[in-house]
Amino acid sequence: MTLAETIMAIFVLTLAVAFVGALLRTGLHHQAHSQRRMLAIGLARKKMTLLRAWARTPAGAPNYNFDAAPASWVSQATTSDPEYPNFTVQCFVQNEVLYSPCTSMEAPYVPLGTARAMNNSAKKVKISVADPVDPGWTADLVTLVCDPTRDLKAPPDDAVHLITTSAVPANFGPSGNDLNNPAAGSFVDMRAEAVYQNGAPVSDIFFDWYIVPLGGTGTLLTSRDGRTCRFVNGVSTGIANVTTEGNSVVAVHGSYRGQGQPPQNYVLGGVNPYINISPVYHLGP
Amino acid sequence: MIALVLVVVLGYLGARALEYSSTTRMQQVLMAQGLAEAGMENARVKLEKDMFFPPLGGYGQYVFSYSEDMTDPANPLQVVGSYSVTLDCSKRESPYCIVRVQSVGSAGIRTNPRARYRIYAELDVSSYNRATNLAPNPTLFRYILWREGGVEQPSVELPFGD
Repeated sequence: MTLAETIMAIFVLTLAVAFVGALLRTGLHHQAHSQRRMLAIGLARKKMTLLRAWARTPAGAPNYNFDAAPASWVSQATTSDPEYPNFTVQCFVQNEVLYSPCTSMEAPYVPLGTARAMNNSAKKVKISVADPVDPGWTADLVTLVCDPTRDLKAPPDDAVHLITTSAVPANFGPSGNDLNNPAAGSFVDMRAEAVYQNGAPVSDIFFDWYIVPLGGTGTLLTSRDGRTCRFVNGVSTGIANVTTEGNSVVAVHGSYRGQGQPPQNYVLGGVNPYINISPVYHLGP
Repeated sequence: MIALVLVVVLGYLGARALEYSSTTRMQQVLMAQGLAEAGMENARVKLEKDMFFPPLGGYGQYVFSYSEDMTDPANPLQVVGSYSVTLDCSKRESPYCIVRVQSVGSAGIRTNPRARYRIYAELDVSSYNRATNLAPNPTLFRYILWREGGVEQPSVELPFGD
């Protein structure tokens, strides 16, 4: 072997060693890179799980942590994790309006303001964990955290309340009054609310209203979410508006966790007809 | 010798490439899992508060399904994925008293998701304790069965029937 050949061989060998070394270095770099990212993903998942559990924790009656301001959510999520002190966690919390049964079916009603909306029952949460070496890369998780399940006021107390919201005409009297004879087309506006065990109102619950005719009847104009209702003394027959003689009962029914609550009724009764107000309770779903 | 080292290093790098791609894949799967959980939460809170949910059109209809897109709370114009929820009420009445809920989270655009994740659960809607047949039921409106997985499942399927 000549000197030139030896030098050439050493040169090629050196190049090969350098190439292999570079490859190995790149590989090790990417291995560390992958490991950091896996840790970031795991941390994001851990933070989301902890945040979901935190939201379901009571925070002094009547509240749960779910009811806390977004800043509390953010501070809860971004607290430094002792196992991963180098990772930066960001949290974004946004109130999410849910439409029931779903957004696409309620979309036509949204511009009209009559969609069946649940405005305070869900928070959209995003957790982002940045790679400490490459902060441009983040492990992102997005989910919904919804209102925790709570206990309703138990019988014999009423969990559903019917509340009048308009001036009650003089001839819409409490139950037992039978002296009234309200004018055709006179009305009373009402709203319903349900309350938890601690008396706090249940947000975003839907109600069902109905008339129990006791000889007479009227017309219910109910909002699509059932939270408000107007009883009108009169019935449209298609060709005329008429009033009927006799009593009527307006009832509102709420259901939480699939349990029917005693409807609270608004007794509208009398002759021709008179309309009374009375809390008459019907048990059962 | 050099060739041998080269083969070893290339093999090592090949394994790292797989690890790297699995990291990316894992992130997408976890995103899909979060979206599937969002669907379960969405269904639960509606079942709790809306007595007309799910809206079943007729006497013979027991299943209702819907999908929602999820946007990035930090960038509301960006859709990060979606979830599809299917509720089966065929076993809602006694003696079963369960509502079967399935949520499939999809990371990325709905028509071409980067990852999917499926959660199937059974919600207890019995008013009575299943052991004593007396009210109240301590597991009322809680998920009494929870299964996760089926990332590669191509379509939404419920285990209809027994």
